[in-house]
Amino acid sequence: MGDFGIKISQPGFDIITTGDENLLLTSKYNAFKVAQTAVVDWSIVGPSGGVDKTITHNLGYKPGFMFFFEVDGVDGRIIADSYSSVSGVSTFSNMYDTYLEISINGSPGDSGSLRYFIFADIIE
Amino acid sequence: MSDFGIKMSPENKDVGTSPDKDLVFTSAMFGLKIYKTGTVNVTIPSGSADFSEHYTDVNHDLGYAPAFYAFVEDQNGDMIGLNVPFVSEMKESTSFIAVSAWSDSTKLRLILTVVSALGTDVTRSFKYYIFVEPTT
Repeated sequence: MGDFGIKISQPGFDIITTGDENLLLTSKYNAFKVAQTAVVDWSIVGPSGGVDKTITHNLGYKPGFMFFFEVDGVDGRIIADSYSSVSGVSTFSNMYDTYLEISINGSPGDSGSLRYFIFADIIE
Repeated sequence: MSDFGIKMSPENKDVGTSPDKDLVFTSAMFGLKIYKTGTVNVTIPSGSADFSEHYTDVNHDLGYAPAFYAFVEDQNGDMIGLNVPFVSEMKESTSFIAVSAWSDSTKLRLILTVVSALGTDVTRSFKYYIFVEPTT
């Protein structure tokens, strides 16, 4: 009774014989699920050279996440992690039980946007 | 009528009570869908100047800057997680390579930057995933 579940294979792959890596979905494995995503604009004003963006998720635990940012439209969309730097602008991020905090440091007048993905899947 | 959809739990988890984080699938949330994946090489020729960039572009026709992820091969031939845009790699104790990547509406660019001088050609293999989901 242990051999049950759901599989969905890609076109051209036999669902019975193909390896798990060729499946679109299998109940055998968990997968990252996007709980929340949005685009957030940012800009640095004043002499401090930085801005903090707080993104509330209220999941009650620390979820996985990734985000991409751009600076003044230069260099496309950069994937970012806990510490990232491009075009003289750096980001530092921390995930908490109820929110994601992204600190952006650069020069006054720098601006851009970022896209974040917060997953339902726990990382702690 | 708003409480409908599909949930799928792994073996030994109650689909009726398991939180979303424990589900294999729920139609309440989407996953990142892989639009294109592959492996490409980037080479830094011997004698390249410090801070020079060397890259390979992977073209796509999505029309927007997509989300992506990538892994890069280290000097031992192992694939390491690439938490770009700025991961430094030490090579032969005295030389460094910085690894970075970005996407725009037509391509994903995978980049090696010379941080300090290299005495030989250096080639690194990137495994990349371009997702359907936009970053804009």
